[in-house]
Amino acid sequence: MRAFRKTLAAVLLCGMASLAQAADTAICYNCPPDWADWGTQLKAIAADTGVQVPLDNKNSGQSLAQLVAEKAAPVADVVYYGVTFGLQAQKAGVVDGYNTQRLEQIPSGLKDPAGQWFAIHSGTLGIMVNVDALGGLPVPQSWADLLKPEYKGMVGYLDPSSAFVGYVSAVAINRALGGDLDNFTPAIDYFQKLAQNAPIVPKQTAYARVLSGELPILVDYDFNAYRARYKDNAHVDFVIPREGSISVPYVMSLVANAPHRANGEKVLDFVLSDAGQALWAKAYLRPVRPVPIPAEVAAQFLPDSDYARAGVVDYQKMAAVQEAFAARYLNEVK
Amino acid sequence: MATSARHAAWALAPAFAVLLAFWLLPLAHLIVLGSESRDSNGSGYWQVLSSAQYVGSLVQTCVLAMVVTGAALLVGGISGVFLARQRFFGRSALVALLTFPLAFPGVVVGFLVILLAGRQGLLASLGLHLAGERWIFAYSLAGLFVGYLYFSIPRVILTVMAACESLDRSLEEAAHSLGAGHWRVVCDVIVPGLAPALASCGAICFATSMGAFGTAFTLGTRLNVTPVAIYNVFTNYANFAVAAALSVVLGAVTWAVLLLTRRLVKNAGTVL
Repeated sequence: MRAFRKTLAAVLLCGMASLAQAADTAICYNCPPDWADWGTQLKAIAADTGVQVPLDNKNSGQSLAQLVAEKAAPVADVVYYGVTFGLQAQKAGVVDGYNTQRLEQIPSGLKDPAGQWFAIHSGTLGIMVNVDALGGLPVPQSWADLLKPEYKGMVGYLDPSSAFVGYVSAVAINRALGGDLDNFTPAIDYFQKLAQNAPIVPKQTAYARVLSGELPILVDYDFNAYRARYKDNAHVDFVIPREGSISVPYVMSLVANAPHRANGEKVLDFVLSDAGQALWAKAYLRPVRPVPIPAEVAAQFLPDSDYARAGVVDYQKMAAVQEAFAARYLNEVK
Repeated sequence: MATSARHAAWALAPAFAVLLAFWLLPLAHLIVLGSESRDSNGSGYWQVLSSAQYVGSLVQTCVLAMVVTGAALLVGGISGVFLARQRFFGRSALVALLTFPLAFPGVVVGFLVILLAGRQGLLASLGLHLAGERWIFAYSLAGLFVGYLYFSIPRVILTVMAACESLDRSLEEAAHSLGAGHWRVVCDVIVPGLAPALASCGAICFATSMGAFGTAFTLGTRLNVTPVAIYNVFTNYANFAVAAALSVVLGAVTWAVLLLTRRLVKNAGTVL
């Protein structure tokens, strides 16, 4: 009996210790160390605000699914995901509004007016090329180039019905070739033509396969290409295709009924602060607020004249038509 | 008598609690979830069964799993009998090698297929030397087939080897002495003797192939197998109703096919 009491006391103590620790913790869904350099960002958050945020390796979709599943008893405080997932989460009622003062500095298309989701940074879609793996072929400069027979079996794009980046690719190509969110026929035609060129269509991020040369050409974000070029020192080029492309924001939300709401707010404040935004720029993601980008980082981006070809779309509508597009893609592109 | 029944009930209570908590409740929840509707599109089951895309994916998954099972039984059955009967140097090493992939997750199997038949794979460089073009099939249906076959064969070999040990060799000797050729002995003695083992490991191969996720996810074949379709609706749209309905239908189809096979094998057994 005494031994039992001792165990009980020990268990209680442990519980209290973890509670005390939890006082300075915020749980973030989808803060992976390998994406957007969340590792450095989370260290900066801990140093600046004292809030410890554990790394989390979910992707956008898994985070959304988990939030919906845990709606009755939320575990997470904040969540980071692609913009259309933020809209889905808002629709499912699993996020709360957060009216930070910095919200005003975010352009109007990049946030929910009530702050239920807001962009923290954005990436631009284009063509990431492993130049060494091309076997002497020129670097493709346009979406049309990817259809040329000399690139047969070399082109990859993420599955638009499975990965968010894949859906972004479809929207970008569609818009560049004259379509809009009401008319996806140009994108479907394009993917049908590309299908003749034996493309590789992974269902998840294929960064490592580009670096290894297995996948010489991948439709992907600028920040992945810059990371390959400048951090992993691979001979990788990034091209914003001649016909145009789009930029896509990544957003964060405060989870509804968050268990550590105050800590979650501190995290959101930090990622929007000048210090937090500069860290995103160092990870090659365009900060959403107009903060100065360090000169050496700015020089590593493609020139602004190239970025002028990247537009924006109505992300609400983009989210609304995603499921219908995915079904059409699966039916018509074979 | 009454007390012993009560004792038995108490003894069974933990087992029942586990069954309830880890099987009945989640399954019941899944079945109920599948009948819910979102955005007034009808229940999850209706959305699955009325969509050509989901039904097509189910049919394709089913056909792929059947073909894989058939091929695995053929390859694994022959090598299993051979390995059980023959004694030669390095046999146990070979058995260990052949059954090594049992523990591999689907993702690893997917990458092995890429190493074999991807752009930089063995076959690609071989093709480049011999025919001047890369032979790539990792990302096609063939790649998926090879991957599934790869993790099915070890299961068949292990089961068949075990079943072979208990096969009565005197029956074969009797058949031989009565003038039966080698092929007749295989058809009339060995295969019927192994039939129960083949049926049960075929069932396991089929069920595993129906539910396999990692390999298909890694290879990203155009064929949208049902487990990947479930992942898509679950994570991209948090559409729990359709995801649950797809899972229940996938389970039901697998169960029905297995039941049918068992019936057929049983009937054939009485004929043989």
